[in-house]
Amino acid sequence: MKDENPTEGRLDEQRLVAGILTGDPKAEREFYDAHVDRVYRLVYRMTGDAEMAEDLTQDTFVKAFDRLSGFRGESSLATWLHSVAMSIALTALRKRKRVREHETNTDDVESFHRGTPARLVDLKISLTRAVDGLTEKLRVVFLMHDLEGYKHEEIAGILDIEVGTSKARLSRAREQLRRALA
Amino acid sequence: MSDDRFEDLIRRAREEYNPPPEVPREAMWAAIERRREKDRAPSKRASRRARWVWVPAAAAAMLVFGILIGRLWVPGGPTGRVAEVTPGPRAVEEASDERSGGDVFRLAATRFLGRADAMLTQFRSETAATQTNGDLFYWADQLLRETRLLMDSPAAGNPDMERLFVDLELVLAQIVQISHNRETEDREWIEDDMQKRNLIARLRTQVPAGQ
Repeated sequence: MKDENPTEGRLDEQRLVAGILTGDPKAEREFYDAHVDRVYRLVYRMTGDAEMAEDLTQDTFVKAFDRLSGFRGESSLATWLHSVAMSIALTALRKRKRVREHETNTDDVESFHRGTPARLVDLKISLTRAVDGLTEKLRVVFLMHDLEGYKHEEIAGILDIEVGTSKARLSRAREQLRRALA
Repeated sequence: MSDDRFEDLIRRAREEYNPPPEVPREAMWAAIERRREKDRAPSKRASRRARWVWVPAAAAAMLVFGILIGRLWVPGGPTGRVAEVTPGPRAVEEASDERSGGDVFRLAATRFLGRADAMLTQFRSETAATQTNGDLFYWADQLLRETRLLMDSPAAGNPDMERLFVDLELVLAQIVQISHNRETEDREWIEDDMQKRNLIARLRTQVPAGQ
């Protein structure tokens, strides 16, 4: 998250938070403009569904505006916002997964797990299946780090885990992908 | 698979795994504004209604608080005076040892924290049952006001207590805030926050048994 000058960044954040809390529409829009692209991109990567990504991004900002009074500055505003987004997105994905599990018939599940060797099918499908086949924890770190370019420090702050845990999850995710795509 | 081949696949994944389209900024912003406007409308009505309820409630809380301090704070007075309000053993002991105003506030804070503990425990049990009754929000709001009074009193002189009051204020404010938006997810969020802050355990540390 962009923190070229941390002190200046903090002051900007404090100013922005104060503006939003006093109901300044310009501050609200500034906050939105500063973060919406990254939030939307991440949520879209996680869901692969434009409508769902829009809804979840909106939920994130509505919730963030409502709860900004609880922001205590222990992390950057961007980290805090992303953790709100992540919580909302994961809850929605779990709900979607439950619905899909209910709807998916057994044959589809079996063929998915058996998997056709990557070289024999379209690579895009193999990639999608391999990434979707990761557990939620590994997939999130992989998407954030390898596809969206988040640093491990950022991921750790957003997911409330240790930096080492983020690195370990990425390593496991990559190892599983390597095996799935071999 | 070679490392180069694998890195190439990761690059492809970057381009092909759920590649985000252009961000529909304006459409989303318009939707956010509509939703916030909608959310604000009932809360404005509620806050107008609530003002009439809370002004006397806050005055009553202040009065009770003042009476409590008045009854307990007798500089140089007899120790037995404290026992009239039947404080717990630790409170009596503290009042006997030192008769400073700080002790009186500490005693008031201890009693208050006992009630906050009871309220939060009730909130957690109702969260587990995914049902929260309106009285709980009323209670939370009342406690929030008392928290703010205590934050400005000598009871918050101790850094641990000050931090506890700050955390308590935040959690109570969150509970009051969801009173018009009773989503399960919101309650779970607050529950998580309480756990992260270890709030109930810290409250209980400050409240002696029997309070």
